[in-house]
Amino acid sequence: MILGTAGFTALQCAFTTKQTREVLLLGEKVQDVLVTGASGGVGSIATMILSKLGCNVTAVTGKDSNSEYLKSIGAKNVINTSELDKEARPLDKGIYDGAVDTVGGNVLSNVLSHVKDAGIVAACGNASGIKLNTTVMPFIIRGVKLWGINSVTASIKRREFLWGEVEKLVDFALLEKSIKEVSLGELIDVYPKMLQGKTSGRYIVNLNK
Amino acid sequence: MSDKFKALVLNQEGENFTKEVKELDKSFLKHGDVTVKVDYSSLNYKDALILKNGARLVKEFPHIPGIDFSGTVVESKNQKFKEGDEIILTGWRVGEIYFGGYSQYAKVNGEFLVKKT
Repeated sequence: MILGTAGFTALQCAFTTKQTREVLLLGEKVQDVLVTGASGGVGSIATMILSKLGCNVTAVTGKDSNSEYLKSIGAKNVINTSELDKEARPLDKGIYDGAVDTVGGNVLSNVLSHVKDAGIVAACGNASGIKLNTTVMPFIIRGVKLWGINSVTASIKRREFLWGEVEKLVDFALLEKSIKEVSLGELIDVYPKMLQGKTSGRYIVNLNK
Repeated sequence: MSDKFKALVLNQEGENFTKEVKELDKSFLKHGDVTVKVDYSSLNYKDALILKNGARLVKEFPHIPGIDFSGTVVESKNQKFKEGDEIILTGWRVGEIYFGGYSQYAKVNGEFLVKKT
């Protein structure tokens, strides 16, 4: 359960950004990738997986104090969310071969403008907002693909496949360092901090605690 | 299984939204065909939204939240599962329209479960 829903979502996102472009779409190798909301549950696990798959991960976080932590789990670079949380230009400098966006809103608009030709942006979150203000330009000029990730109704076949890949993709010794274990009672104190963006990594709930 | 267990219960009566750890009877679990002794659940962003106010995802109260869990099957009316199977569940709107994993026991549709191999 240290992976749970966040881990399954991260697996789906990382697979889409990397393998879907390389294998399914017969595209070029995916090297430089961006992960937004990298301090969160999905973002931190996606950072680990993409790094393990050999990508150079640029982690985006609102918490500068998490920079060392993000580098310890595999991020090559860390940038602050404020650099992407502004009105996006239709096309901006193409920097990344693909991206995992866990936050939505303005951040996702900017991510789309910074992805290079034929890159895939796997989107799975809304913590920065449910609105997406973009233009057709990234899609028709660069062939960027916006790939929605939904963990609720993924088929059992897909679930069994991805869970089966976990051993290869996740460094559990590393992941366990960023896990915090809480009881049902403690959960009631922790969740508001998550909504305020004040938590990092994964919280698991021990039902026997 | 013993008949009593602990779970986090959300309730809404008018404007009043409550959350508390309660002792429940197994007759409280009303969905599904496989009963699982839950070892772990987790806190995902969607869980936090649901714990705050139901996030319009929860349709009926009282409700047990928790959108994922892992544990061991203790009772099964589904052919694919038997007592002692280790399973994981994520998704399928468990913890939203079905009772979820913030509970020492959970009862869900066996078609939602992935068996540990």
